[in-house]
Amino acid sequence: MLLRKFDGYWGGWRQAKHFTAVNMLIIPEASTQRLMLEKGELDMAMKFPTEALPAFQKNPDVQVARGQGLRVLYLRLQNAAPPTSDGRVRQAINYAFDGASFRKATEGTYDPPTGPAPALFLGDWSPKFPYTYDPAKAKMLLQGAGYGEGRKAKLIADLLIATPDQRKAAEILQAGLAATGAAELEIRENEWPVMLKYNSEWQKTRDPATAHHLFGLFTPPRVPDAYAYLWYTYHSKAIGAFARNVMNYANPKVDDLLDRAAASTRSAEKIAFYRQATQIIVDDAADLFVGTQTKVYALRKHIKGFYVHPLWFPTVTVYPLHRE
Amino acid sequence: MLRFLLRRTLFLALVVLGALAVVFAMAHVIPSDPARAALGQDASQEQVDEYRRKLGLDDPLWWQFVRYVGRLARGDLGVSIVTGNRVVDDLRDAVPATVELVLPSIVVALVLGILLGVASAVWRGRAVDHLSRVVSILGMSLPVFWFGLVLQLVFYKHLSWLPAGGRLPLTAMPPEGPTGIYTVDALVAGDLGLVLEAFRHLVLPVITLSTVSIATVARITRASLLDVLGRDYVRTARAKGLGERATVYKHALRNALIPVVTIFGLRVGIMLGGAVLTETIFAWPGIGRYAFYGLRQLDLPVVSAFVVYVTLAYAALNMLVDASYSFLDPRIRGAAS
Amino acid sequence: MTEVAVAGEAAVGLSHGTPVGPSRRGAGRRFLGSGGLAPWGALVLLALAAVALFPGAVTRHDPYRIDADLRLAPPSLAHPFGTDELGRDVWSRVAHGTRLSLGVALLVVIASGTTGTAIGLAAGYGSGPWSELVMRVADIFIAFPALIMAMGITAFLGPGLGNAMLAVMLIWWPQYTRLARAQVLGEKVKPYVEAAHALGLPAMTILWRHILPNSWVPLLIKATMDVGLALLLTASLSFLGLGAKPPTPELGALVTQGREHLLSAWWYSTFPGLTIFLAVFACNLLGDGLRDALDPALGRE
Repeated sequence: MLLRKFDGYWGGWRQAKHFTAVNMLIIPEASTQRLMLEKGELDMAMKFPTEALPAFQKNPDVQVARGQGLRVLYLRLQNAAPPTSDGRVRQAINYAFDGASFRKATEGTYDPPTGPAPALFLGDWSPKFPYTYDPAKAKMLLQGAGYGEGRKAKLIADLLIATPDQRKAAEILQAGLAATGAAELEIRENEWPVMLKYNSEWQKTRDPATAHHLFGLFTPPRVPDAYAYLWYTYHSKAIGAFARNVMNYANPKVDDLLDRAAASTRSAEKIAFYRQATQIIVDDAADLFVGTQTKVYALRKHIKGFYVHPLWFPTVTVYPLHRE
Repeated sequence: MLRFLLRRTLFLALVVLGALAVVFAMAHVIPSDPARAALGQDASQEQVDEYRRKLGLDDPLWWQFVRYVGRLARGDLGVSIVTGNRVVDDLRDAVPATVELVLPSIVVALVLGILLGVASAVWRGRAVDHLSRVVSILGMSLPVFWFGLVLQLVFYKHLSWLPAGGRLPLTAMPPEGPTGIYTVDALVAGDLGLVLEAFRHLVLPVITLSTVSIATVARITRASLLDVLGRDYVRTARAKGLGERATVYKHALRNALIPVVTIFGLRVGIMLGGAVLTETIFAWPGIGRYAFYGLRQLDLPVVSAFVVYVTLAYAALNMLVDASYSFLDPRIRGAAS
Repeated sequence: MTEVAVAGEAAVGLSHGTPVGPSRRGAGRRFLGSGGLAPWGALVLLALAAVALFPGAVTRHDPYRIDADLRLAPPSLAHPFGTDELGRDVWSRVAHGTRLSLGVALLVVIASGTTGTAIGLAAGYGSGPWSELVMRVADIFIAFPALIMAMGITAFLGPGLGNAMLAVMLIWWPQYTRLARAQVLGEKVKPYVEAAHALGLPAMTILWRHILPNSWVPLLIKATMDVGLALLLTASLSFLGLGAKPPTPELGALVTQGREHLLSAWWYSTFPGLTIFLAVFACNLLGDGLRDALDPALGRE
């Protein structure tokens, strides 16, 4: 897709150094984007394997631009069927997840989890987040819920195919759960429509025997407000109707707070309601909160004028770019 | 002759219908919602239901089947539920891509395979024979997908001689042409640079696809030729004083090629069926990859169209193979007429 | 495909009119001394089987142990095949994967081989419409590309090594049916069968005691080579994402996972794929050698 400079642009083209044309290539293979960037065939790569970051940082021809991320990754937990309908099991899952390992494996492109919504939309505030990697505690919680060596909690995870970060998180969780000796995780990767259809079919029967317990999901800032992260994902009215509250979280207190926040016209009040709701969601261990994805771009060193958009990712504003 | 063709066509239609029926039946069992796939994550359930109603996805399966067959008879292959394109249009892009990949692979496999097999048979027991036998077994054992990856590693990553995938460099525009086969169209358009690029992109996929077939063809040719060479009429030809060359090439080889052609027919069928692995590795937008993604997303029109395509391709292939028999073996020619 | 190679060559031998009988005398000598590489094939297969049976004995690390600090490390003394993106030891995963892949392949061949042969023997000995029907069905299965059919079946059954195995079994048995039937048809017309029939022996006994012992050679040869082919097919399915689920280290699944990192971590895809190659190659060598040893007329040596 070739974009050409529009001469009538209101900002004017004072700088001689502006680019006159931008060629946007659709390259589905992340590793190909990486190689082309390294070879200089690409000026900017927006999708590349995170494993490439250390090599990029060492590469004198490549610069890496980062920005605060707003895209939250969850492994959503099934609230309507055992074993995850038991709050202790959900908490155990959060304690059994080795976040440090995950952040290493994703080359630091994730910030530690702070709950369902980024601090930016809660007035620079994060809830009390007690979950650290504590396999002993996880085991204790699972045993409290009745699971142990003889009777393991069997969990099934649905992940989106070709999303390495989801798979890494799930495999790390898998290892953590296996270490407790009280739970087993089975990972299934599927296309998005298959994942959704299974879910909506299951809603009809709600048979615990066929339930799936984890669901890999990213939430981006659809609107720059905590609403985007909280309402669709945690309100009981969002179950089934929109493809977000797929794991049937329903807490009347949270519903009430979210409704009040949505109705309120005063910003401080809104945020107060959202904060309360967030804390409840974290205490409930509604999901496995994996982390917030940092925005990362890789470009050739000679491209100047690039800045990371505070909200949207991936995106590039071409106007100020120029070559040195 | 006419009765024969009629019977063949009827049988073919039955096979196609049977295969489609199986596909439809299986579709009933699987959990997927292509309507959801088409509309995306944010669509409400009402919108999805509406789309399903529009596409007739909620009608009883047998009725959907009848409708589909009716449309098929009129040449309408339907619309991909996921991409929204007419399947015919998608095929028009995908089929020439696969043909561009498979045709050279067939030629390479036949030529190299037969040469190797003949050399092996004629110089039986010598170094050439032993070497080619080992090479054949090696070739037959090669995992296609791994071989493709290794070729990519060596020729793209390390030597940078050849591209990693796709039919053309990313910045190139495909040629406007009649066939959809880029090498041919670029030639017609006179753009030699483009011809070269298209050719470069073909090299690794063709090598990957043809290697296993070369091995199989070589083995069959060798076995078959050795068998024929031991037969009475060959001894007669030799006794008559015909030179070794004439014996081998004119008499023996023709007959030896019959089983070769049979097996080769099957292999080509396999190749035409999609060469899914090769197309996946080299990001080749052919029908194999198209059908695979359609299958994964359970896009029924795409899968059905693919089944029809494969069955028809097979029929054409079988007829070609049968026709070649009468060419190769005069006894059969005599019987047919 | 190899199976047709065997059938084709069998046909070539049979058309000669001379009785093609397996002469087991001297088979061992022929196998070892044929000048081919068949004994090496057996050796390699034995080695692979040893690794498959006792993976713990040859590996130092747990194939599932995650250690993010060690991710994507190149081959070294500690990790001879390097590590994957989560720091797991690739050699351990390959060793355990060999057990999985070989195991699945063996199961597939045994299950489909016995079923298919049984059906083929029955279809060949009996006659009439149903035996024709069975052969038609078998023909269709054999004609269609195996991978495509397997893809279709696994797509509907869902991911998982068990489902992939089932799919391959479903596709494979017709090949044995056809071969077994061809054998039976060939033997049926021989005098000793007629004699047995005249003596009033029941069909089952004739099949089991008389025909089968004379027809098993091509079936065995085919089965040997099929182990390799079944392994390849299952690995291909896993490569396409239709087989093993993570973190199962099935060899094909390992190759496809390594593909994401192909250009920076060549060891990840290369070694599992090499193992597949070795296993299939060994099976083919072995099958070839068996054919030369047990039935030289087929190989026309």
